[in-house]
Amino acid sequence: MATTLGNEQVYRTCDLTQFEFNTTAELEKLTRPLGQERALEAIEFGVDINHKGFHIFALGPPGVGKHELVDSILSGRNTESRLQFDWCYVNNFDDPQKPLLLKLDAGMGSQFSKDMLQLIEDILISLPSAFQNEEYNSQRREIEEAMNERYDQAFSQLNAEAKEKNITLMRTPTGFSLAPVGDDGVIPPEKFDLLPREERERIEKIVADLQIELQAVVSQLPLLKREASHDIKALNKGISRLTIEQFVGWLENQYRDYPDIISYLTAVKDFAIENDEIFLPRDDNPAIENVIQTALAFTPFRVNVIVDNTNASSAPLIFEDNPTYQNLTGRVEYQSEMGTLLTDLTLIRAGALHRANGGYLILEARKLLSHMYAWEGLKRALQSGVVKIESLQEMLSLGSTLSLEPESVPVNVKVILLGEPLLYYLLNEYDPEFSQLFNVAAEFSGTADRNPDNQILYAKMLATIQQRNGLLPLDRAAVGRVVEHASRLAEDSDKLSLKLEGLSELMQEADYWSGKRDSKIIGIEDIEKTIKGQRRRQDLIRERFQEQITRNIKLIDTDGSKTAQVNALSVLQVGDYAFGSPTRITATARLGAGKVIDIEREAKLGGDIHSKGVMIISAYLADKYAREQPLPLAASLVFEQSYGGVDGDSASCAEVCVLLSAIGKIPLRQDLAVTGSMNQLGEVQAIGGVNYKIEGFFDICKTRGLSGNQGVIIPAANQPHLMLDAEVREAVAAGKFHIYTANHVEQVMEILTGLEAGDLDSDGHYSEGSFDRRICERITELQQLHKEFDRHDDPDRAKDG
Amino acid sequence: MMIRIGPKMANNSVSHFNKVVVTVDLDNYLSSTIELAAALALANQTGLHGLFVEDQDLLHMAGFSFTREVSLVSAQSRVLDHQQLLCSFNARSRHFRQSLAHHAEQSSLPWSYSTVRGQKIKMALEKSIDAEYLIIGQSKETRTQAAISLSSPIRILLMNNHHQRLQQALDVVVETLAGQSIELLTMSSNDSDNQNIELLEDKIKTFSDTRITPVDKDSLPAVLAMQNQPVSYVIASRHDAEIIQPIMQQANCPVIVVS
Repeated sequence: MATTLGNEQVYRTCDLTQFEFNTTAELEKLTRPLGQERALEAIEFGVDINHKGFHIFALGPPGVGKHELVDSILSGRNTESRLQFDWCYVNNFDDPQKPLLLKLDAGMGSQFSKDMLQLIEDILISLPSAFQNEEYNSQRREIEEAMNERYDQAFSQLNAEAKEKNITLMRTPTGFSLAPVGDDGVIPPEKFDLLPREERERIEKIVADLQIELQAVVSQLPLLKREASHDIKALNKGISRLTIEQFVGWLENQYRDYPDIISYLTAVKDFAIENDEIFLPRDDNPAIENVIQTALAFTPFRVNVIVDNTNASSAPLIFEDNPTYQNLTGRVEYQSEMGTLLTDLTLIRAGALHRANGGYLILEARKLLSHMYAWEGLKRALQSGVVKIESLQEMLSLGSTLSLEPESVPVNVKVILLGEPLLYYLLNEYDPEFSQLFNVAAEFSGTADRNPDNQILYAKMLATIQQRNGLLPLDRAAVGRVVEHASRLAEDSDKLSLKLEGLSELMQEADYWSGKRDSKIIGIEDIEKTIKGQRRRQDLIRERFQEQITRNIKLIDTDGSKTAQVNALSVLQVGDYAFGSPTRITATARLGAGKVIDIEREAKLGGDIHSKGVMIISAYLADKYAREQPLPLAASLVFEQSYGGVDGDSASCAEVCVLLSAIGKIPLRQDLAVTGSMNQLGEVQAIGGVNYKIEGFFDICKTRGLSGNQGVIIPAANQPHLMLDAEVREAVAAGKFHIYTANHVEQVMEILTGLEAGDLDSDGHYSEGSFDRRICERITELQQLHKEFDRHDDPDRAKDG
Repeated sequence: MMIRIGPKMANNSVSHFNKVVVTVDLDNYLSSTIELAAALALANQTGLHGLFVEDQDLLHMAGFSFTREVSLVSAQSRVLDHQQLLCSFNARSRHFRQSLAHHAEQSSLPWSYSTVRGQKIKMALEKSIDAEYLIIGQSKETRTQAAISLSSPIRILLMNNHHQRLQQALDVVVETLAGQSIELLTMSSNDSDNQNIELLEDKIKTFSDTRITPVDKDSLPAVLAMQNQPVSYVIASRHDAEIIQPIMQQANCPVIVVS
């Protein structure tokens, strides 16, 4: 038996007497999130467990406050037990392309960096002074003079020997030469030629012999210079060693408990001594004007603190809202110099995984998956336990430029992914590594039960938002209205929507309206105005749809009765705005082979679920009306003026009714609209968007004028979901609009036709006057016709029959 | 002898033109020598004359078929070509002239330039007979330049301090060494020189770290030969011709000869 619902059954009002407060200002903040106990337990478990693979995936509908909850749980945790470290990169003097990693206690990184900078400054200042020292100069001069002396000695001997033989040694443009000399300098060649031949030959021989000696002397010069250069270099190294060891030694003492630093400092010392000239003023930079700036340019001695936990009081909690591959795993930056891209260890940048090391990293799964290789990079880091900084170019072997290969950083990080359930299930299904890494699913609920306790918690949640955002307090009635609105959003009068997204905006907007009327409290009228305002702002498309109907462009009857025509209801979703609208369904029935043609399906405009619904209808018809006889019927169904495709089975009830109307030629009421799906037994099943659907038909009827007979038939199972608009409620209360609930399609047909369903007697006939009787009679007629057709087609068989 | 007159001469009214002559040859060319000459000319408000000597002995040497040049770089011997030698003279002369012009014009000094062929010291003394100052560039490039310590004094040999121009030359040299410690080696030949030294001592006391060390004539060769404490400047009088000729031969630094 169909039921007509009363005003109190189409809306669940919030009982304000349960609220023992006047405004939300009196309420304390919510400490535990409402309705998320399951997620809370999962997150706490996931955070506590310290085994590999127990990372957390917080799944739930958008806007339920996953991030806030995760953030609040992790922020409030006592994380003193987790030791924090600074991570630094320093030069690898054996292979500068592969900077070395230093793991230092929190706060030590920046200190070590400062100490190294100070070391460079100290050497830059002290080393040139050491080389200007008189003792050094004296030693150097001794070396050089010793060389010169040896050289001069060789020359002097040669010169003396030449002089003795009246030969002079002279400087030429590029060397030396020997020639016979007289009283007035070198003998002119013409005079020489006048000498006796024996004398000339003697002189020539002397010159030739001396020339050989000269060659021997000159050839010694490079060797002497090299020897002196070695001696000077050794002297320089000695001076450098003395100065550099003095400063490095102080650092070695400071960091004596850190073997890695000591090993690095040893390398620094050796390199600095070996390359001491870099600390000395050069020709192009004779004086070091700004020691600090100069020191900064000494990149091989710099310390790049990529993670500095100096001020960290607890484990790091990092939320990376742009989780690209490089934002996660770090990058090596470049700087352009004269058109060339250059890099060094100071340009290594940490990624979110580095910054979150020893703590927690929160990422949004959708963003993570939408960035190329970010998901792969994260998985690799979590599986291997180390983060390797490399560019995508290198990873994909696309580039051949020389870059740095910093030592991998060991990571111990708990990753919390935030995402929609669909993503979680897809990853679980298609990525075998996902389940190995994200063993903890923290499932957030989109709704909570609407019971007195939760309503009070909901009021506290509103108080939390109000106080956190510095809004005006809500009075009890306003809280009650928000609670009712939450039920409407949940599309269930027994549930409360937990979507925090939108709730803050609702309260902020209400706060604005309250302020506009100079009130210190947000009242129910502010909430109502906000809800209506929000709807109004998005309402244009609904109005346009409605206008098409009221102007009879889209044909919908809202009065009278017609055969083979019914009003079904559908929901249209545009962005986050949804509204209901009636759709006309028509049917035809004729002699045929027992097939119901779904025109939507044939035109490829119908979805699978809709097709399934039509098949269920065929089965229901055959089962009820032609269990022992063939059903010689061809029927067709169509959603009139629908061009965008149809899916879902919420029109099944309407479709079966319009088919029965077409078969039995029974008129159906047009002042009613029907929604509901059905099974093969004719039972009416719940559908979604019931409130929108009712309001959609009500709006049309209201525009055309409420007749007092109009209404909507819905599945009885949907009655708890009703949270109808105040206007509809008023019409229901005034008896101008009716909400009927039905459990079976027979009840729907009874309302639509005004005829009763029939009772089957012992002969297998339905009771007189019922719609079932009329349908059966029509089917019998069709069966007769079918037999006649058979006879015409096959006379022999007819004779036998 | 070819004389080239610099552009300043025509317009300049300096009365004692070309009273400072600087002489170099292929072997001895130092920018600091020209700088010193320019400073002297400026101090005396006189003109500057550059004298490049094409060494006659070298040309004679190139005329022998049996002489070879031993390269300082490779120690290999090769023929000393006459034409190549002339080219080298030209190149060095051109460079000297440019440098002279640069320094003179920097100080707005009138300048002139000439090239002469002969023996350097002989030609320098001959051609500068009217000059108040003659600066002869002297250096031995075979030696490695010793490291100069800032704390080591610059040694100046001042011979026979009986002439005002000698002191003037000394003043200019000392001025160019402003801020550096100086050791003045003085060689006196008579009592008046000793008195002058006392005066000089008072005068140069104004310079920090300046000390005066007397040397005698016999120890001059040894002083000039000291390699760990080289003499950086020699200031001598033309009147001591019999002394300065051997000094010029031995010295490895600019020699300032005062008329």
